[in-house]
Amino acid sequence: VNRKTVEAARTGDEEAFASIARGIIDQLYAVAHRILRDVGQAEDATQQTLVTAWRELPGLRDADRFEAWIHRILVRTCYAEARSARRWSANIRVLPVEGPTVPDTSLGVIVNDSIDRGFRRLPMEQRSILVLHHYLGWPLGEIAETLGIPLGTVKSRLHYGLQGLRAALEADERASMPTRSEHPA
Amino acid sequence: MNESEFWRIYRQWMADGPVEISDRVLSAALGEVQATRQRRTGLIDRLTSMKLSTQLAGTAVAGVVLAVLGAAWLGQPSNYVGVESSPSPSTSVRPPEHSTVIPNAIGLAFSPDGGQVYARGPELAGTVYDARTGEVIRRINPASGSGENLSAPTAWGVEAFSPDGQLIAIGMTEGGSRLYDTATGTLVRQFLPCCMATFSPDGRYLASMSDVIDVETGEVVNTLPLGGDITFSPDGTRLLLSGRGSDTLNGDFPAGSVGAIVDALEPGGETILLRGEGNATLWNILGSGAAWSGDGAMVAQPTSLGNALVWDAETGEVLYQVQRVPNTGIVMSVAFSPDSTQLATGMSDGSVILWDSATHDHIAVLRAAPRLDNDEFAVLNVAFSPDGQRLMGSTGSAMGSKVWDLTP
Repeated sequence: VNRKTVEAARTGDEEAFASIARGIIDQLYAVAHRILRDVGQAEDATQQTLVTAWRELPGLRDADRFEAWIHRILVRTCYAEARSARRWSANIRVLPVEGPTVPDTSLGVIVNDSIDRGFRRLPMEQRSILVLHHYLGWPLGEIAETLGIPLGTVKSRLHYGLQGLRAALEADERASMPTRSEHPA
Repeated sequence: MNESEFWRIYRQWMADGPVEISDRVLSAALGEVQATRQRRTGLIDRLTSMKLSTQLAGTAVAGVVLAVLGAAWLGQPSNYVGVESSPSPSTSVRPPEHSTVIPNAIGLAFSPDGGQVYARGPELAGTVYDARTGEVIRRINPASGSGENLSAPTAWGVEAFSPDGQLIAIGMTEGGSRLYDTATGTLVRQFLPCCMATFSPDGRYLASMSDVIDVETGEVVNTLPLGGDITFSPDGTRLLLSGRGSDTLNGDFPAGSVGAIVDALEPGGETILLRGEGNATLWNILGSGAAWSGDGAMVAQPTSLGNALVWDAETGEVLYQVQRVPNTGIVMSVAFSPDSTQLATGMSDGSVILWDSATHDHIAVLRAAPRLDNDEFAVLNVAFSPDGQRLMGSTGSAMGSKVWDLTP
């Protein structure tokens, strides 16, 4: 993001801000979607992030830090979005599955589903670290600085996040292994 | 599954997924940005007006603050009115039909005696007007006379008169803060720190977003450990730094804190963090953010939970929490009475609640504007007159403001 454009937006230049928004919105959305795993929530979080950024832009001290700054807003907005979604999801009733289902035999799909389920079980704080580090490729120190949390916290969240994913995969693997009753001697 | 297989699958899974968003979302976001532009302009001016209100004398405070609020809300062209007469009890005060018009005003600052107003338009240059006649007194153009070491100025605009009215401070995003002689319009001094222009009560110091500067010498006497909005304590020795959304804005405030109190003039002094309650962050959207009690013993701020917290300014402990009163919305603004015995909160539903600082009970619920579902008439600013006998709640909307007589 161009420093001069950020400076212009900071002084209230809507066109400059629109230019920044056009350039960064896809990346914001991609990150939001990977954290939230939901199209609607990710869209809402992205939109809210841009509005918040516009509102708070005069307080940004260093225009060169814009990208980190707006990702910080995005992550916090994702947290809020997830909290809001939890309130609604409390009213969702899980319906029983009718009849036998045919499993998708594609190994890739099964494994992806396992990772996806495991990821959704992780706390939002761990999800965001995984996405910033493994999707955006940010160094851990930069993540710590951006989110305003200690480096040790970033490391532990990364560790436990990955551990949670592995555990989910292993659990699914165990569940999919044939039992003795299915293979009588 | 071995380690390398896990990483291969995991990285692929992470890379997969949508990378483009619907244009609809961008359009919606930019539409909202456009809609909030005027609200943000209004916020900046309201902050200026609240600082001024404590400097103004007598009954002029209500009218002058109202004038700023009205101008900020009405946008372009802005209306300005100087109210000279004392408002009658429980009077609704609205911008009158016949008023002096200052075109295209974005930033406004009144001189302490209410006689002059500095107005800045979309351009960088500003104008000093006679507040009562609207006559142009002089123009001030920060674009001219830049120092060698300063980049070209860019207006963001927090303007303030010094307490004695002799100087006008203008804070800019680039080019530092600048002090102009009110009488001549000449540049007196410029400072590198940007964005804020808050005078100490005695006018000796100017606080920027990051530094406190000696007005006379131009020396930086203290560098602030945290960013945020700045409010001097009544005695000028301490600063209340408001995070304005510690989650999203400055990033300086430790998690769970919504502000801090620091020594204004002692570098490296103790930082007293103001903790929120639960998940509270400072309410960072609208409203007059923070207030010192008249004796400097307490500070109050609205929080994101919709209430307001009052802290001991010495220890940083929460003294009490202003609870929400049923059917009165959330807290948007706060102000202490000059004797610190009462606290007023402006609410999102158009009401103003008066609290007893000692018992923490609410004394009265006053209505400044009709209650609307969309909080259109939220009370964005509350202010006591310097003698504590009048209370004003301003909606910053077409509903104007209301002034209550508090004398027994």
